[in-house]
Amino acid sequence: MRLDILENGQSTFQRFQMRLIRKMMAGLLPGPIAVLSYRADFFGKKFNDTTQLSLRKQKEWTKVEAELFAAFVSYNNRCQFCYGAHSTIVINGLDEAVVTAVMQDYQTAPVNEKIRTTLGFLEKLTKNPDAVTVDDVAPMRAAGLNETAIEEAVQICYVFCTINRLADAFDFEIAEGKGRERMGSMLYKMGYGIGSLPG
Amino acid sequence: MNNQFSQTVSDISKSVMAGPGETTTALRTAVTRYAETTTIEQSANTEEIPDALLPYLNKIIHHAYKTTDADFEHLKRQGYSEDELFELTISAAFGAGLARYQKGLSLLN
Repeated sequence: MRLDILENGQSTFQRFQMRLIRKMMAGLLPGPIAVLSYRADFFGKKFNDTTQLSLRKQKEWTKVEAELFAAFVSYNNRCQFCYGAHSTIVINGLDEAVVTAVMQDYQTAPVNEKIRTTLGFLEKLTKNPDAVTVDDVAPMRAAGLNETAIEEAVQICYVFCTINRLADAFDFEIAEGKGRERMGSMLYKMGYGIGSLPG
Repeated sequence: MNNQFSQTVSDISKSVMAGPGETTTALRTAVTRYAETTTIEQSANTEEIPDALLPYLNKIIHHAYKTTDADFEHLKRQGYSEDELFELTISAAFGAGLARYQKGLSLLN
């Protein structure tokens, strides 16, 4: 982490919670928890709410589909931390070969047209937002997606285009091996409620 | 439109740009707006942003994965505190995300 202020939270209670998390995570404090807990009223608490809303409270997409979009946006932003985390989360509910195929070429990957057209839209909104026009959502509508589904995809793009930048700016430490798998499984099951620690 | 989500994004905007902090609200607003505008229009007003800050902000906005320890060391040598860098980095990242959110919503019926 490039800022020392993010290492231990702000209050005694946050420091206590972070010690417990480090104990559970073999010494690692996940970067999102560090950033979203420090001075949480400035940004982190509400931003964490938008993460939970976009990935766990969405109406039109399953949890797996939403996590696949999160991993895909992160991949397109070349954010190793978020791509690693969310591709690990999504394989709890989707064949890893499908996830890999989506990242390599979503146009030929074995996914349905609703997902494929949304991936195309997300790629452009992530990498070339200046060039996005109404024509870019037409294929999504033609695939049968309603306005809520498109809006939910936009929400995921917003969340990850923000947190990808924070992960790379502040240099979130990347978990490896069993620790990464354990974190992926926990976030898959429990969601993002603890992303911003109280206190 | 999902009101709870958009209300929460609006709350974040207010807090990041106008809430209490170590940097001035004018600078945080300028940085957030710069990130929003330059993401969509490729040019934006930089008058209120110190020259020393612009290369770092542009890196965060356009290719954050290229950020290095040296970027932070340089800004600290320029006199920026860790809390100031925390606020300004969030302002830039949030502005880049917000630009995509607003652009995406503008396409909905």
